[in-house]
Amino acid sequence: MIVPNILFAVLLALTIVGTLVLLAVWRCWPTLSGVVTDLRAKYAARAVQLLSGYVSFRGAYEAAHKEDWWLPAVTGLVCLVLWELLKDSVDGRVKAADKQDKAALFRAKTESTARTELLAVFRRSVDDKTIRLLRKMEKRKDSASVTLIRAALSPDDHLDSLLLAMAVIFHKQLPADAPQTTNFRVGLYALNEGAMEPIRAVNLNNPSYNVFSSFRAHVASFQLTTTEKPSHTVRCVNLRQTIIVEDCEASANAGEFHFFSDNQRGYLRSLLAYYLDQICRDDGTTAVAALVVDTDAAGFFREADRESLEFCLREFAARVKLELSLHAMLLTRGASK
Amino acid sequence: MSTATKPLLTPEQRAARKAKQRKRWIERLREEMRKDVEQLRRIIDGEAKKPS
Repeated sequence: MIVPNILFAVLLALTIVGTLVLLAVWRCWPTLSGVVTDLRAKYAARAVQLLSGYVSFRGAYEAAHKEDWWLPAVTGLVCLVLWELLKDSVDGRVKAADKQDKAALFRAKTESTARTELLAVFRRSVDDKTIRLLRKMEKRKDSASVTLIRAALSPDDHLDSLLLAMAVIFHKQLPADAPQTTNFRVGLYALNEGAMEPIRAVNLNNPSYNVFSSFRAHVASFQLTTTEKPSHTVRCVNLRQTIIVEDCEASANAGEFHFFSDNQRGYLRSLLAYYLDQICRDDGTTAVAALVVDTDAAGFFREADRESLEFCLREFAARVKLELSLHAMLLTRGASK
Repeated sequence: MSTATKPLLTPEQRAARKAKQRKRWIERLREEMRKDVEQLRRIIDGEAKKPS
């Protein structure tokens, strides 16, 4: 009579403990995750299984006082179900946490890769400049002419190289199954006579790309005050914030994006416009500007990557602004204002 | 060959040369990026002993 009573008390206590732990797991898992591990829950469930099994076995095969084992056996069954439930709950939460950790690790690796690539680009940019400086130093006489200094510090192609590097960086971030012919275009626009005018542009797949012809054909959409189909450069500058169009076609269907021509649907599929604030123009005046990157890979620029994209663009923006200022400073005709 | 005796290039030739230089520059840049990323992976995996 004593043994069944003791076992009943133990199983009842385990049922109460199991219920409390289960409630705690459901309600405050993050706090308990360090204490209640899947392995511990599994061992505890096995121990309860063993005890409940023993009680059921004794209850089934006990010749005398069979009725004494009835209550412990039922309690054991309830306890068993409860601890199995607890084990499964903990297991599910641990698996979910693992999945989250893996996703976070993937994101961390992707982000660190992107930032490492950025460092490589900027090192290349400084190296190019250093090599050019050293070459010009050899040609220098007693005092360096402005032309020589300009050629060394701010050659025309240096800014283009920066923009081209930006296109290369984005191209490197394409998914593995994306076609290698995927194109990226980068345009630098600045305010001039009321319109956002392109001042530099590069096209990864087409070195002879001329952004100015497109601008001239749709100049009305680049007017800062326009309300009729404003370009995203204009919208970006007016809103003073980064604009991301994940899928231009889908946005156009939703009435949030305007193609200048049907032709554009083929190569303009995802777009990013970054507000640069003030830049220095060649004449020494300042003007608001924007960097616009587009690609023929739909869904490439994603709203979910906004912070990462803005980080990348901010780094490029700082260098682009420096190059433009150097360019203006070293112009042989000098600043007019 | 000095600059003075260099034959003048036609605009097409100049464009072709520039495109070639651009392609080489992009390839070099990609290679540098690849090396840096490889080093980063080695650091993450704990296999890096010294920079390559």
